[in-house]
Amino acid sequence: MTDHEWYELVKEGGDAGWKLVWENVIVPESKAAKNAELMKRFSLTDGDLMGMLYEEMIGRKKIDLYRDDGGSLQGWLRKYVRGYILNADPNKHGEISIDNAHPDAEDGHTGLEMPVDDHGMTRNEVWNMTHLCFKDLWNEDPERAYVMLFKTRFHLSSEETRDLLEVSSVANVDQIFSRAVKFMRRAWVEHDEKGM
Amino acid sequence: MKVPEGKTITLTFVSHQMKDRKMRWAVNLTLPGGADKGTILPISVEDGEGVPVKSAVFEFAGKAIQIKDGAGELAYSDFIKGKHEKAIWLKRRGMDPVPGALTFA
Repeated sequence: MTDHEWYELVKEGGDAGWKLVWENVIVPESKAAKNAELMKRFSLTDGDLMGMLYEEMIGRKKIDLYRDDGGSLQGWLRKYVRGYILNADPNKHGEISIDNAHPDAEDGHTGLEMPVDDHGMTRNEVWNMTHLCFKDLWNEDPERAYVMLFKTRFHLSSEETRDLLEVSSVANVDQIFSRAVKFMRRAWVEHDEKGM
Repeated sequence: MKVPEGKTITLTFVSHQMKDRKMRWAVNLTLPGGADKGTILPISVEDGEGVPVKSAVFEFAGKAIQIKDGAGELAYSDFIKGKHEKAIWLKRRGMDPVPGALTFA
């Protein structure tokens, strides 16, 4: 699969693209010795990283900032994940700007710049917004909220989600998930316009 | 109706925002790995100060679940039957019922 094809799948927010994100971005970053140590210290799980990346890329549409011109999507996404780990340090809030990181830098250090804003606060806002939109999703249809949670937070496959929730088919799970993602996007925009 | 082997899933439900911390609550519903339709799912309930709720009724999935000393239980099959039920309430004696919802946490 090319980076362009992967990018399109990630942008759709579906299982196919995000399973690869889990395997090629989250797992290697969370297993890197230095990151593993920091994650343990800051009580950060690989599931937290996946959730943060998903909300930033899909919820806040940051995936649109990726320059789909041949640069490494894996490297670009891993840069964000490294930022989450570093920003989890309560003593470092505001010292690192993820957005200013060089999108193609692979070494984990060269792209980190001094702050333009407080990403600790931004992360809190993102989480508050996530919870608000998720509550809306629950009120729309709890089954959609369960599917969203199982697939993005617990990383269950569509087959596992089908069996767990007794949904009629994998295709139906995927359809429910797709609707949930669209609902969350719409809710995000609406809350954003209302100033939360 | 089956939870994947080796993957225990804990769903967390919390009360809507309440000024009084004691009015708040958090409920964990655990789906153990390998659970099937005959499995009873354990539930734990704490108030906003992290104290197990001594006695309450947790209304969830269309069922009124008795909570005693911070614990209750729900049949997996009832969880599935009630998967479209939106209403969630914790009712404690001497306190107003407090609604809640599933969280992304």
